[in-house]
Formats: sequence, C-alpha cells, structure tokens
Amino acid sequence: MESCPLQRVEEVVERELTPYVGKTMAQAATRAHVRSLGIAGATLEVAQVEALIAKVGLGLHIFVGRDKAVELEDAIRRQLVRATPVVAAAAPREVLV
Amino acid sequence: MSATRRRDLAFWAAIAVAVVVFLPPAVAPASALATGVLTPQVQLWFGALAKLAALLVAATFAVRSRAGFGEDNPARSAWTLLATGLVLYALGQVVLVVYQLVLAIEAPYPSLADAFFLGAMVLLVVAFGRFVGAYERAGFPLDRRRDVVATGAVGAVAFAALCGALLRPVLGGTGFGLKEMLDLAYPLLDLLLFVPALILLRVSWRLRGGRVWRIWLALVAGALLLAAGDILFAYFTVVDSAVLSPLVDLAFLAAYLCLARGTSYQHELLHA
Repeated sequence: MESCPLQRVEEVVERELTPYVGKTMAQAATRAHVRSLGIAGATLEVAQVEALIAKVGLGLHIFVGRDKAVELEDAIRRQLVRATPVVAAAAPREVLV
Repeated sequence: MSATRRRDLAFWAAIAVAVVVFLPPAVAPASALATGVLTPQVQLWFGALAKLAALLVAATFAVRSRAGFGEDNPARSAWTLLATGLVLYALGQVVLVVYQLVLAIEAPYPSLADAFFLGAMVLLVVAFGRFVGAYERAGFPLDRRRDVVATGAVGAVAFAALCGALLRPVLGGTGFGLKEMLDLAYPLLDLLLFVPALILLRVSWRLRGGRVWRIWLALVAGALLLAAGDILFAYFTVVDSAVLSPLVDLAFLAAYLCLARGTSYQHELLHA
C-alpha cells in the first residue's frame, strides 16, 4: 500500500493547528495524537492519516465548534493533497475541487 | 482593518477611558481634575452606563457563542451557564441603573441587584469548572492533574489569606446581619471562581500564541478583576472609605470589559 511521510503530515497538521492553539500546543498535540494512534514508523497509510485528521478535529471542535473543526480538517487534507499524491487518491471529491 | 483589530482598539480605548475617569478621584481626590471635572455625578453616570453596556455586550456575545457549539459539544453547557450568568449580571446592573440614574437615589445594599449578582456568580463558578472539564476532554496534552490541583490549592490558600486579612473588620464586627453576610458571600464566591480561573489560566498558558488563548486570557482576567472588585467593595464598605470607591468601579468596569472581549473573541473564532 502507498504511504505518506510522517514528517510531512506532522508539519502540515502543526501548521494548520498553530493559529488556533499556538505553536507549542500544535506540536505537542500532533505528536500526542500520533502516539495515541500507535503510529511508530516513518510513513503513514491513508487510513492512518484520516484517523489523525479526525482526532485533531475532534479535539479542536471543543474550542472552535464543529464547523471550524471541519474547515481545519479539510485544510489539512488540501495541504496534504498538494504534496502527497496518495492522499489525493483517497480524498473526498469536494476536497479536491 | 479587521473586525478583530477594531474590537481590540475599542476594548483598550474603553479601558483607558475607565482609568482616566476613576483613577484621579481615587489617588488625588482634592485635585482640580477630581473636583471640577470628574465629579461624583460624572463618575456615577459614566460608571453605571458603561458597566451596563459592557455587560450587555458580554451577554450578547456569550449567547451567540453558545449557539455556535453543537448539542454534543462538551463546551456548550459551560457556555450556556456563562451566558446565563452574564445575563443575570446585566439584570443586576439594570436594577442599579434604575436606582442611581432613574430614581436618582443611592442604591440600597442589599437590594434586588445583589440577588442577580449572587446568582450570576454561582453560574460563573460552575461554568468555569465545566470549562476545565471540557479542556480535559479535548484530548490535548495538558499539565499533569496533580500539578493542576496543586495550582488550585495554592491559589485558594493565597486568596483565603488575602480575604482574611482585608475582611478582618467584617469578621470582627459586633453586628452580623444580611449586609455582613453579603460582605462575606461575595468574596467566598470569588474564591470559588478564583480557583477554576487560576486552573484555566495555567491550562490555557500552553495555548499561548493561538486564538483560543486570547479568549481565556480575557475571561480569566475578567474573573480575577471581579474578585478584586468584590474584595475592595467589602473592605471599603466596612472601613467606610468612600474616597477609594472609584477603584471599586474601575475594577468592576474593567472586569466586565474583559468578559465582553473574551466572549467576543470566542464569537469571532466561531463565525469569522
């Protein structure tokens, strides 16, 4: 199965989270979510990327509401789509438009 | 200029005006500025209307923010309590405005306003406690629980010591009626609000630099200024120091402005 580099995914998630929770928490939260999902390798399968995005959105919606959390999830997907063809292949159609 | 920037400027301008109106009469009551321009009547009208306006803004944005959180969101119940508490604060201030500006008499103490204020404080205490719980459920890496509890405990002890020292005249008084009970009830509720506010401050410190942090910085500052206002009010009432009463007005107005900015930050984050 194709995969995405973990470092790239972490960078994108951190960059999108930072405006909401600050750089320190964005880094800590991303790493904590990666750990809690049991991701240990240098690459992620598409399902793992989706699980990570969902977990980040679920945490953030407590602070910013569901609509903004969904916006953030889509923004992460768009960023990853640009850099990672494998995510583009699995992304919902509306994210690619 | 963005709406957030405009509101920030309005907030700081309001704080500056409050300081200009209330500080000179407190620190230099015999000065020409205090006796000629910032007379007690000017302070009364400005203070009563500015506090009411700030509370109405705070309550409006809190109600609108609450609507932005879904039924399944753990923060929704906390925002419901905060919004209701701010509405009660606004109603209490309406009562004071009626006494002070419409009937043109000194507001009695205690009065119906105190019933609204006390109810509001209870709701704010529960709301802040719920916010702490909601933070934990967000799944973000926060401080260890024992560190958070220690922060609350140290804050509670420090606050109780400060209240005990300042309110000794209340505790040592000969009579103990409804007025004296309220003099103690307000600081006691402030203590209950102070602890979760301090915990929120510690927890939200890790979010510094982000937009969520600004919400909590403003709301926690509002809670701490409310506590300062209540303690000063009780102290000045007991020691009968009317000269320093502008400081009480300054503390309350600054508290309401901070609460208004905190709720409007949340509204901007939800709807921007």
